[in-house]
Amino acid sequence: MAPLLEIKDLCLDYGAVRALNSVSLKVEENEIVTVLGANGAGKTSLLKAISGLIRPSKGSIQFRGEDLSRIQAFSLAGRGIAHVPEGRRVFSTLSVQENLTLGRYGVRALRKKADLDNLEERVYALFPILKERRSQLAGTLSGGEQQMLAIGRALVSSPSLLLLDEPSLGLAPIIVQEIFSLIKKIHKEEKIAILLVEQNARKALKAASRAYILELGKIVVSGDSADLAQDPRVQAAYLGAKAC
Amino acid sequence: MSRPVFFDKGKKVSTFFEQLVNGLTVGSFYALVALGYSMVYGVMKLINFAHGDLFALGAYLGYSLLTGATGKITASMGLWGGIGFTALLVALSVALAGVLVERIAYRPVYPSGRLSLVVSALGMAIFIQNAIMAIWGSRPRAFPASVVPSLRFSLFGIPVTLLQVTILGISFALMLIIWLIVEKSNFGAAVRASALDRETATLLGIDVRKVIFFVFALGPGLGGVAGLMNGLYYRAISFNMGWNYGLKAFTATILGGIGNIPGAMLGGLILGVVESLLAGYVSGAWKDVFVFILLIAVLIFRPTGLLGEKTAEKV
Amino acid sequence: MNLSSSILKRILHAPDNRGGLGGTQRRRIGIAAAAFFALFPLLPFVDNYWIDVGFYVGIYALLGLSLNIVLGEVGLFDLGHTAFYAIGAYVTAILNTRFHVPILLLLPVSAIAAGLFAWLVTAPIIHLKGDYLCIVTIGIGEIVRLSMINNPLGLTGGPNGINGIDNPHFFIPILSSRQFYYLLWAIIGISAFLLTRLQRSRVGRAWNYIREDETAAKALGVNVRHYKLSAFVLGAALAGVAGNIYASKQMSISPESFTFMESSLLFCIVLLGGLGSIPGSVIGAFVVTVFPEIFRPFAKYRLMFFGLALLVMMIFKPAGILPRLRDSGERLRKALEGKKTGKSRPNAVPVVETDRAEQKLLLCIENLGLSFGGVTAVSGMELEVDKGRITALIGPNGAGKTTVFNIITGIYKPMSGRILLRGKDISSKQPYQIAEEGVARTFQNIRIFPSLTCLENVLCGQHSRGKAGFFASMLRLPSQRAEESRMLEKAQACLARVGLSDSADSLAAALPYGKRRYLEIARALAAEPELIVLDEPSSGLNDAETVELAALLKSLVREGLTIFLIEHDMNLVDMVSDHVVVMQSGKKIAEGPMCDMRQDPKVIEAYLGSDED
Repeated sequence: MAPLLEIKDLCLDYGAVRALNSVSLKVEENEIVTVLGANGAGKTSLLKAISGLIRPSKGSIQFRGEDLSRIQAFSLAGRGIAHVPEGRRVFSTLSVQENLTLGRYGVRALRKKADLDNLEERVYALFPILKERRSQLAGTLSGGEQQMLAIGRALVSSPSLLLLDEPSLGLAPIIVQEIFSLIKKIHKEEKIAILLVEQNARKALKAASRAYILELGKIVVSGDSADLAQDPRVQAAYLGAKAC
Repeated sequence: MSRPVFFDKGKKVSTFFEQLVNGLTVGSFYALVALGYSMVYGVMKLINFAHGDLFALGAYLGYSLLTGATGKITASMGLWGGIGFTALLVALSVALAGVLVERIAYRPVYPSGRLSLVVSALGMAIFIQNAIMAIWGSRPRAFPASVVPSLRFSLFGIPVTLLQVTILGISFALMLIIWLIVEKSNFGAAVRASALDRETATLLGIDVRKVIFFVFALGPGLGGVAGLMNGLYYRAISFNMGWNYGLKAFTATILGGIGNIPGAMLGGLILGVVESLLAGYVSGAWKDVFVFILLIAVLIFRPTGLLGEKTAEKV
Repeated sequence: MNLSSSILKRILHAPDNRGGLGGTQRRRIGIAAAAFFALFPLLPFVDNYWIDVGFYVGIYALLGLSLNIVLGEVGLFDLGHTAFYAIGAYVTAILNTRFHVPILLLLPVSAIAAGLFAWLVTAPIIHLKGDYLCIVTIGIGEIVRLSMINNPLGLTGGPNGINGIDNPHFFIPILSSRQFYYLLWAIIGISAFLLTRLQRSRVGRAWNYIREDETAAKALGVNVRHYKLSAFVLGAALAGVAGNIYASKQMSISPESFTFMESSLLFCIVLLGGLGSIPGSVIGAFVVTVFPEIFRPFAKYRLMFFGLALLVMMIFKPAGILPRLRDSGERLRKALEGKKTGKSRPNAVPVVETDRAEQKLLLCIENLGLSFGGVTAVSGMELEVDKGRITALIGPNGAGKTTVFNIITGIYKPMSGRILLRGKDISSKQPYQIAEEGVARTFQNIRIFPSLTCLENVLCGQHSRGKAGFFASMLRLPSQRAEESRMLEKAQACLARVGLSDSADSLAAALPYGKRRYLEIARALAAEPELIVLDEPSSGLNDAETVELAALLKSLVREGLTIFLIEHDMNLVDMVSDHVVVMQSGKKIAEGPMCDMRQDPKVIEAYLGSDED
């Protein structure tokens, strides 16, 4: 069977700067895959290319066998891809409930009230704190709560692939802990594939089954995350490899 | 300067309420026009300088529908049917004009940046204003006198006219509908989300082009109806009335916080009332000067408007 | 979209600086145009009507030039410029009709009155940005017009205005259309001449830096508030002059001439002609005045067409008819020669006098804290930067590194703590003052001035090392010439230092990405700093370029400079840094040489996260 998401030889340029250089990767159904790398390696660009926010200059992105390169970004949500952008980006002057409701805006099949309520209840079950704050403005939530809201907002579209961009960014260690256990829980309970971009390599490697490491827009290492957890090249990708 | 009736003790209270009702009526025009500025600014970050002239276009279309041959048709529909039909037709045609303005004047110019957009917006404003002049002539036109019977009666002890009640009724109904759409419906949430963060809105499956179409249709549509009601209220309309009303409504937008939809309605009503009270109790001639001073003061001390929130700039 | 990126877009739309109408070609056209304007009223078939049209072209040209200072040079959205024109006209009318002050004597008076008025009304609002400023200026325009209608103290004559204004008397009384025409165009000629000189000076460049990127200009030593205000004052003064001549030609004025529509037309003139282009403003005025005249037979439709024409222009030629050509270095130097100036003292490579032995500590940060709306960005940060060394600040994304930089350079004000530069607290100073103190910076996402030449970009660094003001620049005083040639030389040396001499005259927007980094560094070097602060200098560079950058940084330190950088590319940190400070969650967690940092469990955890669940 074809993988859920398959990227082949993807190149992406910002003017004269090449952000991604011949990147190939795949994500199978119901699998957590992580993409690691230092700041500026091209991780966010990769996710934006998948969800159609940036058009690649070369290569193909196939989702369930369908080529995404000609599809409008807004219609991807209806095809089962949900993207939680870097920095959370919740709509700060909308209420928590409104943020969540917007999550399934792009999915026509889910516009029925009953389905929606059902989904929302599941999300609220995952994040009880959001239920308490459902009428509060999203901008008044703490960083960790905003991250949960951003993830919850993506989940109400009932996606088959969840793109998570740096969910632990700027959060206190204890909250990071919580976010990661939630990611694992979501994966287990919702049976969806997750493509996780992270700086926190150790946690990401623990959560994921496979990993890719990006350096300057190129994939330099890939493999099972258990193996990579021991690989010195992972640390080198962040902190350099010069022998002292 | 008109001498206020302030000193006549018996008339004092009723005059105050008359000013208030008059202020609310004018304020509701401002509010409806301000909604258009605010929605477009919220989503596009663009001051639609042609908006005031779309308001004038609404007044002129209404004039044509209520007079001459078409006047007979609208008159045959009875009082409320005639007004309702005229308002609907005005709203639809000005909405269409609004969408055309976006297609012709703004969409091709977005890539060239803000300054060019200001010029093309001004160009469009000049075009509409002069098109109105070319079609209807440069002399002011007068609405027929008796579209709404000039009935005066007392409402909770406040003297009002039937026309005022009609206008306030229609305006508040429209504002309520807009408020419900924008604040309570899913699509409204999508509009607000697109104004806050287009990219994330897109990720959630919101087609931002539809949102843009919506604001450029709804805003001018409301403005057109306001123009029609303005014609009914003051009866005299002129081709360049859009400039002044546009500026006032724009001031109302700023008062409420640009891009803030309930704010625009509130700003319009406050502006109308303040203006009317200034005219009644301070000076009719200087009221506009005070209004613009108020505008500048708001921008200095509370740039996000009366209902706005503070935002931080990122370097 | 901010102004600078929009300008970048216009430039990319517009023909290249060297392409299109070249400099010499333009000069020929310019001479032909000047000859036409000079001879036009003498042509046999030209009657008074067309001479008057020529006069009104002139009024709009002068107003266009005056708004061009504010809108074109500095990029401030001014949609109420007619207010200043009105002030000039009314001051002339009132003083002339009441006290019989001669018109030409009122010329400077009108200019000063309009300038003073502009200073009074814009000083409280000058910090407003973009659309907000635009709205306020509309308000000012309306307040002035409505006040004139209301006849305060019986001075302005209400809606009917003021009648019976004298003619000017310049040796002979100026009465005929032809005489007015020549008087006005002489003034335009002088103004254009002086404004061109300003454009080619420290002052004109400072205006442009603000237009292109206010933050970068600020961080490199431009006193933004001062230059914005001065643009308003100067622009208003020139509009006041136009008001004076207009009043005396018309002999009567009324508020009708000073509407929002007029302000909009002026705005269109500047944009039609080309932002910041002096000949452009004249052409814009010509188009705006003559276009409706030619279409007079279609009276009803002419303004309709005019509105459409504006649209079409903005769609197809958004950069304007005659976009400003930037001066080449050669041209700038030639402009300085003319008369023999004192040979500027040779100024070789950018070397800072160093006294390493005397004091080792250059920058010291104590207990720094800042939070944004409850989110703590930096708290209790401590840091020291030693003189003559390269200190690197590293840490995971979101650790607060750039915030520290923004506090050091004065863009943010800290909520607690101090920043000591050579032992002196600079934490309360303005960015431009910090630049003057000897701190220059580059930005994470490159902030160059896209539509200026590379040389002009680098000259920005020298801004804080010069002092020539408006009068010195307009009059080209010897001191100003000496200063300019010193600045030029220094800027060229800095460009050479980073290997960009060949690109000196090309627009910064045309540089490839990697070179833009170097341009930014050259600009910082030109500020003759003691400390240079680089925010992720290697981002977007490939491996080879990074090695090259490392070599440059090392050689700069050898010459006595101190470098403090934020970096994510550990290869670069390895290659250059003497000392590394690691930040996480707004605090310092470790410091030492990079080799040790790599082994430090706290650093590894900061980067890779912790293992335990």
